[in-house]
Amino acid sequence: MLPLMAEESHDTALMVRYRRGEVAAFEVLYRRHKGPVYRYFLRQGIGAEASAELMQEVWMKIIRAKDRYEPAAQFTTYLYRLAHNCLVDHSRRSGSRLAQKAAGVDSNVDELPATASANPEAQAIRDESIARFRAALANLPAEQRDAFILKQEAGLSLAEVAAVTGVSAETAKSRLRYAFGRLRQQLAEQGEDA
Amino acid sequence: MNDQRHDDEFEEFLDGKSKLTERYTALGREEPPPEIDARILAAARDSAKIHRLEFGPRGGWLKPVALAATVLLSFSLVMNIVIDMPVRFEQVITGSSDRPADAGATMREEKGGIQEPNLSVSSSTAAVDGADAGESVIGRARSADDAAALAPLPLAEISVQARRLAGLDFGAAMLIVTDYVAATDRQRRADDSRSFTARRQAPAKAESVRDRPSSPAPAEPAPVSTDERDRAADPESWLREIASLSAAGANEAADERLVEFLDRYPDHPVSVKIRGRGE
Repeated sequence: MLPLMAEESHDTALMVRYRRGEVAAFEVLYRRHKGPVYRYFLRQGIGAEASAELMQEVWMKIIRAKDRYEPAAQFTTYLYRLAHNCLVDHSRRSGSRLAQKAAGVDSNVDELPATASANPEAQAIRDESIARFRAALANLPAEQRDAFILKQEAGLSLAEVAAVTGVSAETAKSRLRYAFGRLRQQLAEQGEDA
Repeated sequence: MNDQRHDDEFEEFLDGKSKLTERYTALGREEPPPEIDARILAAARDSAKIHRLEFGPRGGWLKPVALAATVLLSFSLVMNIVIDMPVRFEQVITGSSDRPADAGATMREEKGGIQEPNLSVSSSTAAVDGADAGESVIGRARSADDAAALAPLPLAEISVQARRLAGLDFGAAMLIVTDYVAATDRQRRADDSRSFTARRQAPAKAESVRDRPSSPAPAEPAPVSTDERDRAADPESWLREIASLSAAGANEAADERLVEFLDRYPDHPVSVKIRGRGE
């Protein structure tokens, strides 16, 4: 097996190599994207366990469909389209709109690992700030939150967010603009600087 | 003015320079549980292993071999069906049909289909599959303006080649004939020996009978030609002739005579055995 050269480490090339049976290429791809994909679900406010299950579902789909993979689009677009579809299916199954429950926000905060800090008071303030931002995110309408997380977590461009969510670039931009405005407004109302 | 500032900040956000981006980053970098990682990577390895088995350098033969096996199996199946058909073919050409004209028409079509076993099969099947199918075959033949073509063909026109195509194994058939002739000869010699012994043991009886008016001695049968044997329809002589032709190396003549024999005596034990073996 050939070593993974720098020019071959592009996601699409890695996926093509995995399609040819190179497990090492998949491992690189997985390590690169597993965190963002997991956090894409986690930031939607659906809980760590459900997020892990959905992430596993996404990667299993990629593994099963590897022989049909065509490097026509960016791998990240392909990956997050699968993730987006899994999320939509999950919300349909659970019968609720994505993370409209504030309780989910609190549980996520509980699940976060405690960050060690020399100054417990400063740490508490910081944790409170994070919790407020998390709550503001959870209060966004699902489509706006989805677009915002895709932009922030996956680093997708406007066109890619549009492609993943199946809307026009204008719609995607509009959703992002509303998400941006609402988050700022909510944080300002809580005395937060955003 | 306010809107303009909002737009500028939004553009900064799109470029990743907003405070919101910092706030988002501060949420942390959680990772999935290690057991999920292990499960996914194991699935990826298994899938790649299967891929290597199917397409890899060592397992690349799997698909072609599977394809070849499928083709071979299909071919054998088709050939088996084709070989099974001549029994019905035999029924047609030996006149089991009540309508010799039908058989003749079928055979006329058969003439064109001799090079194509499938054609002969379909034609013969059509001739056997009841009156409707027979009518359709004949209907096509009647559409030809040559009325003479509808006359039944002589059986001799069913060539050795056609028989061969129909699955007759002439080698095996000749063995059957030779065995049968040898067995007949043995039986005949045994009968002759028994009758000779019986004649020797009863001289007295013969003496007593000598005084009686003698009846005319039975005339020795005159030697007959091959055609005469045909007319006499003596299957045993025919078989002996076939065996002797085969022994002399005249295989084609022997084959032709055998085909004629099969047509003439379809119920003879030799014909039945040959059909059961090869056709």
